[in-house]
Amino acid sequence: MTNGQAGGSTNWPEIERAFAAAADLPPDRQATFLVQLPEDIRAEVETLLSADRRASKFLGGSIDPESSGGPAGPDYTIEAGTQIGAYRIESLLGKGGMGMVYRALDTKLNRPVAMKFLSGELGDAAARRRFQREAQLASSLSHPHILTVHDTGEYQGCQYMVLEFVDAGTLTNWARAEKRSWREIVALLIGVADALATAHDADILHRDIKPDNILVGRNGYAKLADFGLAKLQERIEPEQVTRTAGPETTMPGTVVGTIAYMSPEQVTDRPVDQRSDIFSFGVVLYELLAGRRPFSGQSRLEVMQGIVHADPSPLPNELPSSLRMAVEKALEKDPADRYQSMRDMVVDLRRLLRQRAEVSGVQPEVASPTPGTAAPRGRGMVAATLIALALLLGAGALFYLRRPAVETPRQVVQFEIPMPPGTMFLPTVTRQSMAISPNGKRLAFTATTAGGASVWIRDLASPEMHSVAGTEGAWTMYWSPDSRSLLFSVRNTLKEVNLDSAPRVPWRNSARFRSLAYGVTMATWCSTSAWAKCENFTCRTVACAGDPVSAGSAGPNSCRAATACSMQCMTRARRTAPR
Amino acid sequence: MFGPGDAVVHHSGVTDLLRQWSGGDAAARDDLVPLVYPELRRLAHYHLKREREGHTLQTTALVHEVYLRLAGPNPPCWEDRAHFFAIAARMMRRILVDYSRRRHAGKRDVEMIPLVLEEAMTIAVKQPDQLVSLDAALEELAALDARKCQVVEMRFFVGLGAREIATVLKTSEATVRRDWTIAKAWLFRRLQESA
Repeated sequence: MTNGQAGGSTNWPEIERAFAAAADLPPDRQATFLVQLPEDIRAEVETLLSADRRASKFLGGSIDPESSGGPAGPDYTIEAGTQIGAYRIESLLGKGGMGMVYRALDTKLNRPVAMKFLSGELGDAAARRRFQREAQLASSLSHPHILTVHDTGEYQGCQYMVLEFVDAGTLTNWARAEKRSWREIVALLIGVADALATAHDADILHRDIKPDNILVGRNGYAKLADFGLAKLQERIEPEQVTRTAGPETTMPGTVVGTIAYMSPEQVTDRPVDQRSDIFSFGVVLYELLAGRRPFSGQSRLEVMQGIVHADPSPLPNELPSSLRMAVEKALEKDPADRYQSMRDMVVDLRRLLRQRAEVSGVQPEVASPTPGTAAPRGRGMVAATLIALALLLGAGALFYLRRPAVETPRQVVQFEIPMPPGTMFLPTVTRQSMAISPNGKRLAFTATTAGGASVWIRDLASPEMHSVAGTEGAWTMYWSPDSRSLLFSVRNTLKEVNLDSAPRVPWRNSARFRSLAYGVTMATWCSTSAWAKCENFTCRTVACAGDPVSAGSAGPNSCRAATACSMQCMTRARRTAPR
Repeated sequence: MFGPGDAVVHHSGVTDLLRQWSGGDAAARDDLVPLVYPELRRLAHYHLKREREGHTLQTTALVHEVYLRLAGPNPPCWEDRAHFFAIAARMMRRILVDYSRRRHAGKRDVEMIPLVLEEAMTIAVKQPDQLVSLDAALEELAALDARKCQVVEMRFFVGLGAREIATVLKTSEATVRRDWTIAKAWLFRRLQESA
């Protein structure tokens, strides 16, 4: 009991060195190495080595997250010409997430088939069950755009599945092969969308929609494959929808699917339903149309963060606005804001193709997707674009402000504003990340760099932009009614800056300031006149449970009170928000 | 004046503090704890409760979730994230061990079986006594070699990999791997001894 500690504490560095050296040796040379060690060290190292051998699964085993649980690389190859039942192996087609896929010949019916083998390492009971379920689910769905399962079986202890052979490649290959117009893309994917809608009708979720799971034949016909992660979606109350990581489906808590195509609810391990598939489908559609993924990053976590928080940059303007809107709707963060059923999306996409078919004219081609490199091609794909769509509203307002009379029909002007070099625009629904001044002449927006966010100003009439000193950390800004000052909040503090006084006086507290602001999602609004003294302060919270309207004015400390009030409402709203 | 986004003031706070800490300001780490711990604890207990009803959640996913909530959309650099996880590892250990201790209250001198399970959260629910023993063994290991204990915490309680652990500890990946191997063997032996 104490020998380990006593020996260890005195000679630990030596023990450590000897252990590391011995562990690297092949077993036959270990003994020779060990006998050369001093007696006390040797005893320690020997027991540790023995513990090491027995501890292969202790604490999860490996230090590499991927190797503990994720699919390991298949180590299994089958020679061409091998006869398995009625099938003769011809060649290796590829390696999937769970095993190898071979091309084979069905000698009975003399037709080519694809055979998918569960990799040897994954041949445990859980993986086998999953494999069987994939087969059962897929074969229970009959749809021209779902890959047909012909047969299943076992070969030398390995499960296999015999699939319809699709003579071409994946959607990724298809998109890379040549430039595709949006019409081609939509026309191809409508089939997949319809297949998905059919699966949803049967309460089957796919859960792993990605370009590599969509096969495209030479005839230009798409098939949805790999219902491997699909799981029967029980018909239960929305609050109790089955979780992504049910113990039956995957290793406990393992995040299933490919990160880049996951929905926010999959990423955060919340219950998923068909709207999660709709999101993933939206990601695929976006990637094909834009030539880049909507959410990308250097690491898994960065991608996950993008999925949960970031709004993808707008799709190219050349695409029909109804198509852009359809994709955006599929990519809404909140499932409640998305298409509620795949069927609805299919209807929209069909209508889109139909309507557009009637409009003659050249259809612009879109950049061909090159996942990974994400090199933007074609016009209009400014890397750091932003705002265009959001500005639509502002531009309209601008027009309205300047020309109240109804002389000419209102014209919508769309334009893009490039971000300052090295910065990003990260708008969210909960923040006022950009605002046009009431006089319509200036745009204020937050630009984010590695160092954080700050407010930038641009005169709409000129291309010049400048950052506003002292606004570091500001996320939300509002214009004063005279368009001369900006009010913004940094952490808990409200600050004001007058942009026209020269030299600029930061944090000028102005009693003239009047402002009204809305908390977008929580329906909180706070207003104040005479901000400097924080008098006549009002804060109303509309959406707080149990407290529908509480209004009050506060005394000298009302700045603080405003924060507290807003925070309180937030907290309550969060607590009561459906999860 | 306050959109809900602003109310989540911890966001920029957490990010700044992480940056300061990975920049060498040790005090920033202490300031982070009160920001992160309550959220982590709340969420862990929520999931532990569900787990007893048959659900499971990987601690890694849980820490991801807390991180996503607190760090917000202002993406800090990769090193900062690793540091966040490193802090969360110690907290996760405390949360799970406290939880296990409460569940296991009153039972003493139980037989200790080696842990072969994949993750800490499952153990906390199914074999609370094992986690308590592991915690004690970790304490001894920390006295012997603090870094080894940190490696185990980061790997076992929040699922960090060798590369990320190496970043936090400012050492090489190879060293972390060696640390892991010997720490695992040491803990295994220690738990067997006391069994």
